[in-house]
Amino acid sequence: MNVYVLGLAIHEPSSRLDALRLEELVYRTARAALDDAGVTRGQLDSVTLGSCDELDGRSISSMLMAMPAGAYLTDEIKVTDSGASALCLATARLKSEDFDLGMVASWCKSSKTDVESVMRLRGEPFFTRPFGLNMLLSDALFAQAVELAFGIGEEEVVGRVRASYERAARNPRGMGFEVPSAADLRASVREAMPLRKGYRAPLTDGAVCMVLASERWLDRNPGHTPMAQVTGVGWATDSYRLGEQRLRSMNSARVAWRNALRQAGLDGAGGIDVIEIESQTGYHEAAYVRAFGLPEHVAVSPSGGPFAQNPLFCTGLVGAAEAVLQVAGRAGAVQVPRVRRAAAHSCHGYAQQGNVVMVFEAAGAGIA
Amino acid sequence: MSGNTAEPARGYLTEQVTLRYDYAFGEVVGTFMDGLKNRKILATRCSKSAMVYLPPRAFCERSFEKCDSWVEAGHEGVIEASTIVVRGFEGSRPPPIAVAYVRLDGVDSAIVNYVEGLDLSDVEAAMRRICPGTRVSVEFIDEPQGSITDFHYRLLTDDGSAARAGGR
Repeated sequence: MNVYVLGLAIHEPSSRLDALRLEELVYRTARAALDDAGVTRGQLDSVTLGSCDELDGRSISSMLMAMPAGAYLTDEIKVTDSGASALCLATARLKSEDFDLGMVASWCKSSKTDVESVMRLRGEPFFTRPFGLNMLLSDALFAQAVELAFGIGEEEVVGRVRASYERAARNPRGMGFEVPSAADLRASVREAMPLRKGYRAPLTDGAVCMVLASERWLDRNPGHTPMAQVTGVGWATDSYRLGEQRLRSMNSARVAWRNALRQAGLDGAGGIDVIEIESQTGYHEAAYVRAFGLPEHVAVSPSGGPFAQNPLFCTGLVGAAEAVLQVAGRAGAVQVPRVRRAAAHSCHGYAQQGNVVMVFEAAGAGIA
Repeated sequence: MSGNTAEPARGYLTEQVTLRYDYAFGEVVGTFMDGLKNRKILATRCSKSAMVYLPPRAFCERSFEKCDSWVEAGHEGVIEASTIVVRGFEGSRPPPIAVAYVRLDGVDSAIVNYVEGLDLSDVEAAMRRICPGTRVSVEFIDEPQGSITDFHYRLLTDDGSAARAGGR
């Protein structure tokens, strides 16, 4: 059963979104996605949520958040790894042929609490938490590892961060941050070696929703034109142990990439025109383009990636939405010409323990 | 979609939730912590896979059998990953601090701890001194309490002794 993206909405990002409470943020985004898809809430037969209770500030937050995502009297399930993981599950649900029209909703107010304390809470209490293991520290360990594994120099990192901000500045769905100079980046404070503050994408608040439809649903509803086909989804998880091999190998990223490409019928990155990478630091982008073996012609994160907006838990799903906009020709000022196939990457956990890759293809072929 | 940045903030409720958790050591962590009190770093071994786990695990991830013996790890090892946290550290002491994942001799996995005795006035120079591949030794505190911070790492000097505070 083929699966398609029928419509989507990305909420305008903010450094601190105090004007809306979570349910208002999600309702507006879900409602906009339904309108974009040209369907009503009553037509949905499944809702898949991707959210983090600790960041939402409420346990089992889906009890409150399912309804604004459109789940009234509708089958609802929640994923707590990442928004992109929710897209994988939603795709699998439609492929099971038990469902035909699904909403994927993910959100994150990074400003709501101390994200690093939440990340530290995820550490094992006896052996890692006493050493303050959090996102900063684990990203620094990852940066050191890939610096050594791939020979990534600080100048490359500075160049990639600046280029990301430049692309992000053109993105109408981004924060519009001022593009820092290379000197500013080099002079930004060291936070955890080798990471400087300027090398890390600033956290933001945001939300994103997608409406997925099965090929069967599209056959029964011929008036609808999908934005893209979901041709491949892959995910994998690495060991929790942050030893040398785990950090350098990027094994789960490579497995997720291979699986997604295989599902999409591709034997390499050559068939990809665009990829949105969840590069939380400049080191991440430098490492992922190598691990994925991306050829020169692939446009990397035309949206600016997390340097455009970075609502941490759903940043990967925002990247997926940006990839869909590319194949649909709706990316606006950051549109890459003639995009037939776009990939999106997302990662989660300490030093990217989990990785998700999705492949989207221009829709049309095979639809009645 | 259209945004709301022009919409005024209507205020917010601030709440600080304090939760206390009592994490039971269990059999394996309990034995490990008892070992620390006797200045021993104990790892678990699976006879089926021959994997030696440190931190110790109750079971082998590969064979899914119970780890069936204890092995005392060496008091020297090699750094596999390291960083110096300069700001924003939430651990048990103020930054700057150096931490490293070290694979101690005789075990198959790395365990994190502080690296002491480094001159952190120049963090870039200090990072070069704790790069992966560097050998370190274990040093226990004077009165171990049965906690992971009962020991830390020190760089080994050229003659094989532990480097003291301020550098080699």
